[in-house]
Amino acid sequence: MSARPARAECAPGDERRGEPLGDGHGAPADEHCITCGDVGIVMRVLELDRHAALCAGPDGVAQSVATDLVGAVVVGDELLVHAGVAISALGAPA
Amino acid sequence: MRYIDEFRDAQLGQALAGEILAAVEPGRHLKLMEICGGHTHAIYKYSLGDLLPDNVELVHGPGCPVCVIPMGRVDDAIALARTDGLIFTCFGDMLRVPGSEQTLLDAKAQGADVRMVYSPLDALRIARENPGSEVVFFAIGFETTAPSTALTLKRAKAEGMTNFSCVCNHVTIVPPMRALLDSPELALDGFVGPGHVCTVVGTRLFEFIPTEYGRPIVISGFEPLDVLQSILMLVRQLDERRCEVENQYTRVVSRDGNPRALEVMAEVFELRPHFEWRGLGSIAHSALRLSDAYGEFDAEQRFDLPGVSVADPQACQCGEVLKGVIKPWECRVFGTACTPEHAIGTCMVSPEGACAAYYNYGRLAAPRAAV
Repeated sequence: MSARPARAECAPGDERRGEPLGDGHGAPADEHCITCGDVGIVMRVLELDRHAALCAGPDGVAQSVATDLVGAVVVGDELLVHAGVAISALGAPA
Repeated sequence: MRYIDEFRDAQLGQALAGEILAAVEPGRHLKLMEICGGHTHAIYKYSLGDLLPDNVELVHGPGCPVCVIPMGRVDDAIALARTDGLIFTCFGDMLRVPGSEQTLLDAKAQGADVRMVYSPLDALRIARENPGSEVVFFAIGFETTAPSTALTLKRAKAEGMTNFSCVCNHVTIVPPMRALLDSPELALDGFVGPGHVCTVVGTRLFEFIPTEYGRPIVISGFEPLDVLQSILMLVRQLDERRCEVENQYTRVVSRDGNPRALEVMAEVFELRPHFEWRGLGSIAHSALRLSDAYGEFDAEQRFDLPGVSVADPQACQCGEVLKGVIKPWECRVFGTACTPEHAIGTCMVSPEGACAAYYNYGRLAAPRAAV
């Protein structure tokens, strides 16, 4: 059996959920994987392209997100992103 | 960040815990199952179980798609990854899942071109960049992930890609839920429902749980206050003898889900007659394959896969953990022969697997008194 890979191999940093509960108790670094954790990450739209938007997550890292499944979005919208694809716009369920 | 910080407030968490304590009926033991691996992870990471009264028991369900994939399909993936000139792509969580002898990470170390991707769209990009190579994406996940695969295949078809294909392991949540509810060994009082699956399919899909099985379900978000509030909503339903689908995760979930996602899934996928679930056996109509219109992108048609069936390791009790019959630490190999570094069972491989979540966050907090 192989040794466990480094966390960075498990999922890129923008899938991490970040800070521990409120008072900052000492939970280890987050280690979600996108499928097994059914992870959706909240990202804010920075720029728009045709079927994609440049979005930033809680860690500030920007990435391209496909927006085909949520219809029209505008800069400043907050999207729920899973596996590089927006599946819902926050505050306005699809 | 908005929608995150306010759902991690410790004082509000304590207040919700107090409300749960006040709402729970004294002397009544409540057994609640969280279906989704993301909830399992949040419960352990934030020690939410410690905030609950002793008579509210959380049971961890089968909602980790990596945890339920049978060994035979992992062996098929490894055999495919070893094909000369082929680029095999998958999510990072698949790399360490043990087949009968090896993992995809082992195959990669031995020279197979296995690449981790964050999105199926990244796999399609790799195919564009490597027109001389076959590029296969190993698709896995529930209804949350299936739309991203469907969208990718739709784009591949529109672009006329000929070197891209997909091994489809997407599973659907309702059939295993029914299998669990039909299981005589399971006595559950209610469910914390999968919020992100419901973003796609809507809460409507879960209305059979109260109507046919008489159990309440609350569709929940994944931040700690989401989970606590969902447990409170469940406890209140049970206390008031109500039984319905409630939606805690209203900021992204509606009753009808995401129609665009459902439309693209309907175009690209069809139900498999049967699919093997680790620990749960074969369940009818519980997984997706590519529709005839997308047959040219089906790696199972394009390549000659061994298709072997491999029994689960005898020492491993993942099946009983997945059904909530035993707790992770009650498995005979938990924390000894089976650890995240040397996993025997899939529940220990995935960080969202119940065993790994408990191993990483909970094992030092509670004695293994039940062993």
